Amino acid sequence: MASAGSGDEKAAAAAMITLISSDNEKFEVTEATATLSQTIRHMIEDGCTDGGVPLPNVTSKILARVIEYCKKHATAAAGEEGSSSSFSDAAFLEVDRAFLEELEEFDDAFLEVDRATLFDLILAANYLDIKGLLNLTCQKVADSVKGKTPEQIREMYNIVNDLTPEEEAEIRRETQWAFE
Amino acid sequence: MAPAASKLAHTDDGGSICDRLSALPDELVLHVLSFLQASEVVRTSVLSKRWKDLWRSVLSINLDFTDFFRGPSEPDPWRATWVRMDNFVSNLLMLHEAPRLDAFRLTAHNVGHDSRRHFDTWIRRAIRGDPLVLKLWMMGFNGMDGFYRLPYLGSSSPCFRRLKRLKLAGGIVLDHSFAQRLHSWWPQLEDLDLTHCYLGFSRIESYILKNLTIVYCKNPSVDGFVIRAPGLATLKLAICSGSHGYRNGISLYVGNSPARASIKLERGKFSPRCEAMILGSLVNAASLDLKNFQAMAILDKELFDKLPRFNNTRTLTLNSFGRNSSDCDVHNLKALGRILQMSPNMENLTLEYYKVSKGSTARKGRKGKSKKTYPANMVRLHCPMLKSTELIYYGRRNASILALHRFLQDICSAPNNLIKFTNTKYCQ
Repeated sequence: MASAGSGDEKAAAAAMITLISSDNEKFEVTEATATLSQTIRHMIEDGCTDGGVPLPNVTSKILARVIEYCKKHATAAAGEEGSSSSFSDAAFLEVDRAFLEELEEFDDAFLEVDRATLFDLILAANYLDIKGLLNLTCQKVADSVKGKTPEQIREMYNIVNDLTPEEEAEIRRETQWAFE
Repeated sequence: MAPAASKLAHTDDGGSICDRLSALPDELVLHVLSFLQASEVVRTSVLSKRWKDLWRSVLSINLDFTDFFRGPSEPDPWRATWVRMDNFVSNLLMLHEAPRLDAFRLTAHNVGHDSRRHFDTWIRRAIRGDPLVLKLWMMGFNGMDGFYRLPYLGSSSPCFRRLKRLKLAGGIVLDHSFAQRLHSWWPQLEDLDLTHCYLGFSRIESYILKNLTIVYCKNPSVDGFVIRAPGLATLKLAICSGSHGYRNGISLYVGNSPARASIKLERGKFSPRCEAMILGSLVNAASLDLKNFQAMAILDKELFDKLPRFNNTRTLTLNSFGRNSSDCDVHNLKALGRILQMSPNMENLTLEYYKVSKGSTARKGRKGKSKKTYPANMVRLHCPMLKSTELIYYGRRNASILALHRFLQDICSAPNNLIKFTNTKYCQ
């Protein structure tokens, strides 16, 4: 686990970046993988990645998962000649089915995590500014509440209803047009 | 062990007892909400105090007519659905407080004269939010019941300039001023998708567009259509069948040409020469999907033969060339051979419903002579990179598909090629 990027012979020649998790584990990744994170991209541009990039907000467990995502999507982006646009937007267009299907399968499998990990991934994606991962994880949460009643959502996410019955009735009255 | 900077309790074993969702910062909760239908977003207001007003700031508004449909059992379900939707949207847009919008997506249904006026109001309101993504699908405007004309996007909304992705679908009428806007008004517009629209212009010009889709749009008033977009990565065109326009064809000025192109023509509408010119604009594409082209476009010695090779083309999908002349089988195979010859790096070939009659490839006598039974001048093809060929057909694996299979085996020297048959009759 110590060097997540070491098996990648093809990229051995490319510049490597060391990422350091909050619990001090070091991960060596290619620049192409690392720069899916806008936060890290800016650090590289500013030339402050020597000696590793400390990521005090991300545990090794989560960082390993994030790197797994970035590696897959960086390869995908590299295989895309002549197109620099982000692939999170690909749903807008119906292009190259096989290629997208593979990525989708990866994403689906990637999201098979417990809820705590999912929220950790959201926070990490936000902190590292990885748009595709943030969309993917937030979409997963959104999908889980689709079609659910407020009561079901509360139960699902342990949301404590701190509204008094009067307050709740008042809100329901004000937004009655959404409950018809 | 626990991350110092995270204030949240972690339960690594997955047993989350705390409310991680409400604990997210506002911007992330709002991001989650942006994936939901607007009605679901508003209903989160009763979850707890934390959620009471969050919905007012959501940055993406997604509205879908079907979301307000309560089943066919209520009297006049269309009307009732419309009344609910109208009431909802009017309230939402009045009480929504975010100064800007990331996205506005509306799927609406024409339910008569007054609905159009309401759509105008909603869309104007959305435009005031200066959205990055605008997606309108206006159902039920199919010409017979009238069209939907977009409210003027001009000077009344001077801030509407952040637009990055625009998708318009349904019977939406777009006039000259729309084409002008494309050219100069939206400096960041990367994705444009026009589906089933009525176009009142003959030219699309943009130096920033990356992805362009124009499918099944009607454009009756113009003879030819010009697309000048040198920065395209993806181009998808489908000509509306039975449409009267485009007598002079389509001219593409797409610079180094898009990496992916999908072009569906109407059979026999354009001259072979015009189709050859379309192909000529796409020589650098890595992935090509060509539908309803005619063999003669590829056999056009004047034009097609003079094109540079399709050296970048890795993936090609073709359906059968036209079948209106008696010797078209020969032409079909010749054209296919010609394309393969011109694309030395082809890796994946898909032939959909490709028709050749048995006679055109029938072997006479022994293997060694088989070459002669193919169309004259048919040289042996070398496709060293070809690794997969998919032959898609419907129903019985007839003589046509077998003839094609034999042709590929005999004529095409592709040591790594794997030929696969797919019968769409049994798909899905």
